[in-house]
Amino acid sequence: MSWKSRFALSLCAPLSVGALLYATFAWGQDGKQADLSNPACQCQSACCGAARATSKPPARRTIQPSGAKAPPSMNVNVLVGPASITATGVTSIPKCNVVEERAKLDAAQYARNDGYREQAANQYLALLKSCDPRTRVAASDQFHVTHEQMSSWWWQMGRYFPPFRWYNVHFPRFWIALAIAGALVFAIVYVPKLRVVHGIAHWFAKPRPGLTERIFATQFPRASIMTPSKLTPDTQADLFAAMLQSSADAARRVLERAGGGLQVRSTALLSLPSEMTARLTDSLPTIKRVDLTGFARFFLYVKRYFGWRVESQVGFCPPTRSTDGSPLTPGRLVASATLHSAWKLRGGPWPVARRVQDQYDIDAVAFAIAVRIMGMSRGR
Amino acid sequence: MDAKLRIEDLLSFSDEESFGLFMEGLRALQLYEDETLREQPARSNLERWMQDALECLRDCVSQYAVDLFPRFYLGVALSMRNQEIFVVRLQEVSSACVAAGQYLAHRDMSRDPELSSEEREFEARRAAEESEVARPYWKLDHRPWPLLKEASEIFQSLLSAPSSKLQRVAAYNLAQIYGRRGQKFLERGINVLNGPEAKPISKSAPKEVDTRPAKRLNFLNSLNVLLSLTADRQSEQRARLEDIALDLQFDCLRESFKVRVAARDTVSAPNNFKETYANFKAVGDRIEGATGIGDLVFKKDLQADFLTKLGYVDYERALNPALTSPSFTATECLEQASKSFLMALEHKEHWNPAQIYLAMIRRAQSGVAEAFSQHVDRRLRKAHSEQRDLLERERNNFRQQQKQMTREADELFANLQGLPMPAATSANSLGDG
Repeated sequence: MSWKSRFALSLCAPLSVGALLYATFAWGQDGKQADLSNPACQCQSACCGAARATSKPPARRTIQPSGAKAPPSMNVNVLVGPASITATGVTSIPKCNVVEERAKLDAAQYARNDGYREQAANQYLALLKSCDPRTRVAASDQFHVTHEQMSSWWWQMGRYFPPFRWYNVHFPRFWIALAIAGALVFAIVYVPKLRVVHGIAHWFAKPRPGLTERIFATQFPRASIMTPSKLTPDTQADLFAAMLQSSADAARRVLERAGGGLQVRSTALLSLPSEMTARLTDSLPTIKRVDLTGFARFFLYVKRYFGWRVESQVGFCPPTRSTDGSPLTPGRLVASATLHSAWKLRGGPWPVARRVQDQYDIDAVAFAIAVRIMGMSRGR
Repeated sequence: MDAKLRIEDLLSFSDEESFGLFMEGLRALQLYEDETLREQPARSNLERWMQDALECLRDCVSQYAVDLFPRFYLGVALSMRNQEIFVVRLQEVSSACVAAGQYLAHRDMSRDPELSSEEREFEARRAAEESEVARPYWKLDHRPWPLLKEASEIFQSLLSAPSSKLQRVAAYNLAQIYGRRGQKFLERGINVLNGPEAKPISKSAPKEVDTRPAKRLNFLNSLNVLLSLTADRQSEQRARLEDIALDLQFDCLRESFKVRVAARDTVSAPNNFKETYANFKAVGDRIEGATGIGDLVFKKDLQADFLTKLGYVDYERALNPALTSPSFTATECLEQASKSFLMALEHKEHWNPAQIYLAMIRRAQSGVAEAFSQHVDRRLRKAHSEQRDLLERERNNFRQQQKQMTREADELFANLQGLPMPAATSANSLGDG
């Protein structure tokens, strides 16, 4: 059954709640497979497939060829294996323990109905070599049925997102559980007598914003530096990233020092009061760079993507000289940075260009970029 | 406008560019300071950092005129740059400065009762001549100081800042700059220091309100609040000590101005000067006795500042003939001033204001030593043979002193300008004494 038809059915489900409830509880109570004569299942043939998928196995069931009646009792060992013929005649005929074979088949059926379909498939596969031909036939049928279900998209995606399986395996109950949960939430939120529960839930939920903030960095107290892009080949991009981080710390130190003494050191003039510089430093964001490898890096990048991150480009323009070797233009370092969170551009671009002696003379540009990023939290 | 909003304006910047330029300027200023504190500063670094600081802060102030902190530091940077220019100009009038020292020495001798009237007249004539030579040095205050003027305008504008603390600091800096601009600005400086902006912030005054949105009280924030309580207590303690230190600093500057005004007034000087001088020294005693600020760097700042101002007052006293006498000569005033500057430098090594004035005094003292050596030379020509040895030794001593003072002044000027140290000359090789 396609997901579209299931979705359509799920939409009409609230309208036929009674019928679904009946079907659900009927399965739940007697443990029997859904009856095809059930009108709720007749409305859509898909329903039957779902019912089959969600049905529990009979308590003790034997596999019968279609149309055949089950014998009154199966506690009889039947000789079905070929006899080995020797020169002295029929000496030994291997016995087939039919009861054991049927029990294995039942076990496979239970495993399938409990949702362990990979395990069930393996068990059916093993039973294809059963000595009992009827077991072999039944195992073959069930093996194909199981594999058909396992090859559906919802089973495969359910490995990564279990609700897909819940929805398909427990099709009507899924909606009932959802409806009950929704009703409970609605009641807690809107029914005045249940406000106490609301209050308790709210109190327990208090650390949540803090945790969310810590994990996802929804505001801007922290920003991660992504590896800067090189605009020219001989640019020291890694050095620039490292300097960017240390410059953020340096900016904090500059402010702390500004309010650290009474006077500006080389004059008799007073510096700013420490209280003011402390308040300036207070809300400055931290800019960090963490390098991990492998899977951790993937998660880190995902987290960085949804947090605040600094994307930067840096390029070194070497000095030019005339033919006689005299300098024409000094070396320049050009850098630019932007601040992103997820796909949103939050700040910048902040282009900065400074004269430098060589490509390693990066600190002034890194500091200029860092303080502009940090200035995001100090702007009006 | 709502007071709360105005405080927010003070602490925030127009945009990231403004904050960036301000921080770059501030960092350059601090790197400049670090360079001046080195044993041998490099001129290229001094120039680079000062240029960077001025460029960034000027850009910031011109583009974002409403931001106050960049304006404050532009005032500071201009004042520091002016200090550099002052050193250069002082160096340019070195010979006039030496002549000023000679003038003081001749003036002292012209009033020496041990000398004959003929000698006194000669010394008075020499004093007049040297005073004429020293004219460029005397006129140094009257030269235009555009950077100081600009800085004083900046600090003047900050007197209406929305924070009383910032107003107070700006008032102090404004008065300090008036003090540097010469005698005729002293009255203005005193007015600023007595103005409403400079008044101590009373404990009952409402605290400047932090209007940042309050954080929601959740578990993590509660932890942060607990941690920040300790930090708050420390910063409160620091702010209290800062207030004490600031009060002492204001008193020190105010009293030093009063002494300098009194030193200028030669008619009613003796009594007025003595009284104000005593008041000023009492501030020094209060600084020494202040126990609460002992553990912090504040005390050293205050001590160095007081001693530098004391030295400068002694220097101005030396210039005023009404405040010197044969019992306390101008030469002794200069000696006392130099001791004060040296003590200030013990508290704050390589502190530029003390270094500049010490260099100036050393230059003048070399003139004093030269004048005395010439005087002894004259006496030597008339002396009997039994006195000659003694006089020759005395003359050589003065010559040695002159060389030593000149060398010290040269070294200080070189250090202040980030130039290589002059070649060392052995003092012992300069004479036979």
